[in-house]
Amino acid sequence: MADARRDSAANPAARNQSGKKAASASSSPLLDLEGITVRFGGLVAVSDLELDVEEGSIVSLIGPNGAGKTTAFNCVSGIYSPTSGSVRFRGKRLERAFTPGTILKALAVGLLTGLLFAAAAVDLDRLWMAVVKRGMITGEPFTASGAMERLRGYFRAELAIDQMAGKWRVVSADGSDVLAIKRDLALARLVRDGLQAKVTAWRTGPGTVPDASDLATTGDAAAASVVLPPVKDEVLDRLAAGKSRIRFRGWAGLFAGMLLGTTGTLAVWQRGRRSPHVVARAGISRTFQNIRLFSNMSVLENVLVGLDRTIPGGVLAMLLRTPANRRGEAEAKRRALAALDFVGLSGNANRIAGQLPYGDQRRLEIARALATGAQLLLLDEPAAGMNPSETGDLAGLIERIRASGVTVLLIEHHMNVVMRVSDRVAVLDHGTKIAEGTPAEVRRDEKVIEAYLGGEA
Amino acid sequence: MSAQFFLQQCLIGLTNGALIALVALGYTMVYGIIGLINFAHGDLIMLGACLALSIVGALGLAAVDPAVTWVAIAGLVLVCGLACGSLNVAVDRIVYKPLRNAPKLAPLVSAIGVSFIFMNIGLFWLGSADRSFPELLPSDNVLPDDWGLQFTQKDRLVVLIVVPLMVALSILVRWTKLGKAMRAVSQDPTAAALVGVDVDRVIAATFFIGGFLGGAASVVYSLYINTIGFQMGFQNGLYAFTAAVLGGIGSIPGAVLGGVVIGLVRALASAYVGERWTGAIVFAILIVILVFRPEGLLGRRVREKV
Repeated sequence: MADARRDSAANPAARNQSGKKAASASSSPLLDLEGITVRFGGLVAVSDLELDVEEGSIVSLIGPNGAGKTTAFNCVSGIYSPTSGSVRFRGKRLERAFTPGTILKALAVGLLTGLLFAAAAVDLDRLWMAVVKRGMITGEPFTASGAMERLRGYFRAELAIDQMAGKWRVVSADGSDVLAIKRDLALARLVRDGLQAKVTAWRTGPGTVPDASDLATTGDAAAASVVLPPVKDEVLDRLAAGKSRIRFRGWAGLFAGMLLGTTGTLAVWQRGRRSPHVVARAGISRTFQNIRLFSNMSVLENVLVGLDRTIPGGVLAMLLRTPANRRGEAEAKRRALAALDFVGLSGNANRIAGQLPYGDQRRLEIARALATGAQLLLLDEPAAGMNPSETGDLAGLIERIRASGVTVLLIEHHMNVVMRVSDRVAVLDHGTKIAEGTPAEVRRDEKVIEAYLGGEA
Repeated sequence: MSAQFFLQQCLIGLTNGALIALVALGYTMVYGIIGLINFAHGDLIMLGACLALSIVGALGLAAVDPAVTWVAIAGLVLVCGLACGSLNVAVDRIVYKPLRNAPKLAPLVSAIGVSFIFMNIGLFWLGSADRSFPELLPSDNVLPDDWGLQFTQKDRLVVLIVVPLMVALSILVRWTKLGKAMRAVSQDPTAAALVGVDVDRVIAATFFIGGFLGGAASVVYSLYINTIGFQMGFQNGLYAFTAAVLGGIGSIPGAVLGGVVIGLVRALASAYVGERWTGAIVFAILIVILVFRPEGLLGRRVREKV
């Protein structure tokens, strides 16, 4: 929200002014493509493309079909990430910045994944049974400290008591070994304590000093009077090893989960680093070769979609229609109508976009792109399918767009449009730039003529 | 078979249909915006019902004074709605978002996976047997006796919760900038992103709204049917999904219409043909309608999708 407001404030009002300033003061280009290469599998769509677009100019990209022009556009507008090379706009790469927050977020996700993995590794069902359900069965009132104690007990692999068919059973912490069955709960507790002492002694071995956690559970005097059931040596071995086994599983799960979660989050983040809306908000907007309007929405709504981020307030403000929200909407509507007026569609604001004639749809797409407050407009074959008179109007529109302070990068096949409006022309063939210069220079270039007419001729 | 009996069945059908429609909205909104059939939606509602049951149990809401019951129900709807909405957003972030540019089958299979995960959580939470949900509302008639129709407090609850939610949803989609962004993204996410719409945020908002409606539906369902179980999501989800397809998936009014149609067909079929045959009849009618209108009842005429 915050950055949306910031660039909206900076945008169209300030556009002309900042445009002039930058053009006179700095020598760095508005858009700078450096060594852009795009591969799709084995196919090289664009190869090592270098292109500078000076602020306030109109630059055309021409070339035969399949030369990689639209692919280059898609790289600039963030739909594709180039395989290598960089796109700079006003010297910035227009990527989401790698901040400490990114790492923190990845670590937080990693921790969460780690805890889930650990829970799975120590057997969540049995943990739940040990900490919550067994307490309910034995009728102890549920307290946080009691649950905490049982949780620790589970990780010490202490023997526990549960109930089955009306009798009390002394079981291993995970419930997989049943050591004794008693009718009386108090007796079962004494047996448990006695067996626990035996297991602890078995683990620590003769002559060793039990550690603090073991001392806490060593049986008391009453336990000495109880007759303990016999336990086989291999069962004792298993029970004694339970403590280190459960701790190892917990830590291993936590570690593996953290590693997977953190690296996975970073990988996904890296993939979505350059996203079209970030590019659009920075001031680059475009139209498409095959018109992509929101054809079921009205003409006005189409333009408003790009302006909505300038309206303050969240969902609640929208539903309550707060004064700031209404002012924002009125202002957005005014700007949208101005954009429609600029391209000559002012009378059609309430028509459904899909019902406009073809030429008007093209102009609506341009209005929608301009209204976002773009400083660089990418036009992908705007004259496609137009008749000569419409083409002439379009060339006039492009010149007026430049006059309003917006830089234009153009893909076009109609040479009369290209030659009339362009300051510079770059020619692509098979993904490689074969010529660049003023329209007059390019027209005389041998390689260009060859590319258009065929090499063998 | 009097006219009164017929009217009574219609009333039952409408109430059931409203409930189905509320669930169907969750399917249709997500489908409309990212073209994903969110198979986990039914099970999300099952988890909402689990949460509602736990809250009612923990706070002892079953024994509360009747005057406070309505406040309690409103609170339940809000809490379960927020919980299910947040869970839905979390699932989108973790599972569906990384697959946004993958072939359509990848998120679909993932949705089936999420559905199983939810079902396992529900099994863990509720146990394998069906659980009865406390009767917070009595089943007494709210219509005058001489009309000869039954419309209980529970039926009224369904209408009182479902209708305002649907009105609020239509206002949101039609008149707010979020709604406008949702419609734009549903038509062309790339073009929307290129005019500066944060597509991921709009998708998250859609998941939240769908999940919120699902959470509300889970509370209404629990109070209305009074039996919940870990498998309830599958069958109810299937009927709601059918309603969404019948109405034209992706279309909001279509989901409501589809829900009402399926509710009516179910009620009338079980009254006049037999309880056992309702499933067969509902799906037979679905097939017939789809043969003549493959895009669903409102699939093309109202092309506004979300």
